[in-house]
Amino acid sequence: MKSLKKYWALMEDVLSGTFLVTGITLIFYETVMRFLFNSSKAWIGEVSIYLIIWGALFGIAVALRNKRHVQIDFLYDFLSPFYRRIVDLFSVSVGIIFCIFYIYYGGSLVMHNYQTGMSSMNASIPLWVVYLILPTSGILFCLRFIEQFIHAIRGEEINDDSTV
Amino acid sequence: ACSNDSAGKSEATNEGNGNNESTDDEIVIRFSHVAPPHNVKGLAAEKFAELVAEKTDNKVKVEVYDSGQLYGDGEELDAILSGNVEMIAPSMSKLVQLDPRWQFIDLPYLFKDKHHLRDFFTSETAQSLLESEQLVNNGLIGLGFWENGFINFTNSQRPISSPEDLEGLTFRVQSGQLIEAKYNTVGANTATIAWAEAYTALQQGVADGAEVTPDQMDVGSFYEVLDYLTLSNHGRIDYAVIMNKDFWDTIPEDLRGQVSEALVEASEYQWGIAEENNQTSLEKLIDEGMEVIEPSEADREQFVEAFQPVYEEYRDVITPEIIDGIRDLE
Amino acid sequence: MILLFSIFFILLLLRVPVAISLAVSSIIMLLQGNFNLDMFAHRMFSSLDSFTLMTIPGFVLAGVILAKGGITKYLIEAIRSWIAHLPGGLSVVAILACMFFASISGSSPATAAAVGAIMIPSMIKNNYSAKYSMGIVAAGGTLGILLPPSIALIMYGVIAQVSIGDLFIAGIIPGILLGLALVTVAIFFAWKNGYKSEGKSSWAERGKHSLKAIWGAFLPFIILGSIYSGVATPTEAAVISVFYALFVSVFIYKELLWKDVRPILVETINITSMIFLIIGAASLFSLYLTNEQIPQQLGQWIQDANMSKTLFFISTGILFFILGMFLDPISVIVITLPIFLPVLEVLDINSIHFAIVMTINIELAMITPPVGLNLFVVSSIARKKMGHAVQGVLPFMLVMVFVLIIIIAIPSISTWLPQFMK
Ligand code: NA
Ligand code: NA
Repeated sequence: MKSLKKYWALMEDVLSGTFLVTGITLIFYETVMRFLFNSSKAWIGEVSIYLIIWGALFGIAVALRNKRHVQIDFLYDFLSPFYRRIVDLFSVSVGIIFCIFYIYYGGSLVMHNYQTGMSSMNASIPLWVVYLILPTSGILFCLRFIEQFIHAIRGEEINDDSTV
Repeated sequence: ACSNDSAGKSEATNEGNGNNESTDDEIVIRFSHVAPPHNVKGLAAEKFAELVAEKTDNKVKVEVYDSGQLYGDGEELDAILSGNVEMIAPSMSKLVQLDPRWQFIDLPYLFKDKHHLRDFFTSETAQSLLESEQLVNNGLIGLGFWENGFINFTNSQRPISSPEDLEGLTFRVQSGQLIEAKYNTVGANTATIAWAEAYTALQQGVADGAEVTPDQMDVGSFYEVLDYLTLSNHGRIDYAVIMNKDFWDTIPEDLRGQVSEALVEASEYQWGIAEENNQTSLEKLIDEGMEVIEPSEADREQFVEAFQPVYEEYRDVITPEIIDGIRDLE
Repeated sequence: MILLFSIFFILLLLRVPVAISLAVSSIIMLLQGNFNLDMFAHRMFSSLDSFTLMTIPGFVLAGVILAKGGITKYLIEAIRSWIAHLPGGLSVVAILACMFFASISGSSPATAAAVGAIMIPSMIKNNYSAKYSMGIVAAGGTLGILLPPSIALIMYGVIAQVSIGDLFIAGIIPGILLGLALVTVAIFFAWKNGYKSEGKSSWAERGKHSLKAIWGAFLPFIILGSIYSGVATPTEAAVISVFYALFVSVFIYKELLWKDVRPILVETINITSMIFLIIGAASLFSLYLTNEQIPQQLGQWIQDANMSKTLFFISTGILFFILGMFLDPISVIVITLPIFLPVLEVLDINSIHFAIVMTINIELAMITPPVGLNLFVVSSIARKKMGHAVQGVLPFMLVMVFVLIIIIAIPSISTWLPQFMK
């Protein structure tokens, strides 16, 4: 179980990191090419945006795992452990509800674009492929919320050190 | 006022879903566009709203949402597909996402002059694009065209009067593969830069030039940072007026006819002010001290010749029917 | 609108993350209005689909590399060797280091964290009070979003369709002004509290430290220079700064090793993803507001009420302050700016001027409890309660308000330089 968790976290980091780094590197490549050889390709700009968005959206699960989505402890700090647990259960449930919407509508966007056959302006990537990140990142995000939900039920406090 | 507004909208949405049990209810067309209200597109949208109210005796109401306040450039197509607005007037190149044939609008020197263009607007070729399978199957229908104008080469480096003059320059473009191919054909480059960054990019030399209409040149204050303007009239920027088809079909036929009439009148008005506006802008650009280059007929032939490979490359995608259909109107 | 904000704040108080609170309250409201939610996912995606926004991960990554790869450390050592022996020297070093780091990083908490990690412990060691040390770094850190590059100004530019380059340039004079004001307060307090100074460095040491730091010192010039020489757009400049910082850290300082790669990436992902989710969620929030025509109504109302510019600046200032007590800076911008943009036109307020005013307002929010990101950062570095940091930051906050008033009153402080550069 421990090692599964470890590898799961590694997978999240690798997915997110790879897309982010590739996107940033592609922008750098494009900048250098334009500066040195006065040559540039519109598809590179578009693909790098998609790559970075993919990385960032895979990363919402990473940020949740590391408790880095900003939360407000103003009220929480005044509560007794019992009420804290109730608040934790509530906030995590809202997170799961969000994920359900996000996955469902993300999925239906993918289906819709699959049917219409729309593709991106510059690189002609089918948009349904581009939008696949929505349901996929939603599932990863949701799994982290479910993990927190189990923690909350067991009465383990969800610690927060939300600093940027 | 908020609650009234949303009530109005729910009615419209119900209409959109096919709930037209009572025609006494006001039908609401939400028309979203990204131009400012005083721009030619904005004025035409208002005109259209007035005409519709007048002709349908207020049975149909057009609510205009300008400046992309509701949906931005990248999302208005999705907004109309999902029925969250009923009407949009996007730049034609946006429709390439649904139907690659619309790339015709980016072809260099396809339209000879404004008469050629207007003939196209009412042609069967145009109809085949507006009512294409690709649009209709996605629940859309094109109702007509609005103009921005002929685009010209403008830059900060040198006067351009032949294709060779383009060589080595970098042009700021919005997006589009054909446009990139076009510049590469003559040894020039493109840089994809958003409109908001275009001025700074041109000023700082990230891009040497742009292809814009006099109106855009004026609105973007490009004349402050660019010195040379070639009246090449080598391409077009225009808009397609698009309606949600499910919604359109639920409007009772008599009212639909009246709305169509209103659109025809609004379009004629729009073409008029677009042309006038470009003329005024052009005068301003000259006043501001831009060096204007008017290519001769022979120069023009050179450009047409130089860009020929683009036609060959894109003939299959845009289809011979569209390209020849437009050429035959000349 | 009231219902929307009520749901939003209740969710916030019940510890739902800001982004989720924004999204869920908007979804609830949109569902009521018979809105076709099919667009919901697309809206979130398209709100991120902008080349300009890609500046954010770039500057975030550059900032993380700076802090971990030695550049910040050597810069501070250099500044220290020159002025630490003067009265209150270390506190002045802290602020100058913040100004320098701010010219490379786009984020305030990152600035406070990088400088604070080094300066807070050394100040405490030199008998500065912990409160004061925390306060000065928290306040100095706010320069992170005023001096270019700035994530706040990028966000502003994306929403208001103003050139990021112009906004960056506009932040320079107000940023220096605010930095100098903070230095003045620091010297005053050091004098009043009789803080000792460190021993004087020799010229040889100064030379050695400066030479070592010079690689990092180039960075602000590389960033602004590449934008203003036409080599790069702001997004590209951010990426250039990433690769430059990487080059210096790996090949010159040799302080970045393979084992640092994952922590650096994870830190970048944490911040970028948090911000991106907020941007996506806030786009739903503003979708509801525009659907209800709230910005237009507000504009109309302000026009009808004949509101003066002064009153507008005061009331928005108060609003930003209140929102900023609970929200992070990006949320404040993405939620309120779409509402106020039409009003700027009505009142004929220069949007670059407003950007700078708004940024300073937001800076204040970062040092006000309960959610003050800079306060979190300094209190976790010093391992003290946040309340101590609040007490320490108070005098600096007052001087920031004073500078804010001057910047509101004299628009040309913000607008002169970008115009001059044209
Ligand atoms: Na900065
Ligand atoms: Na705050």
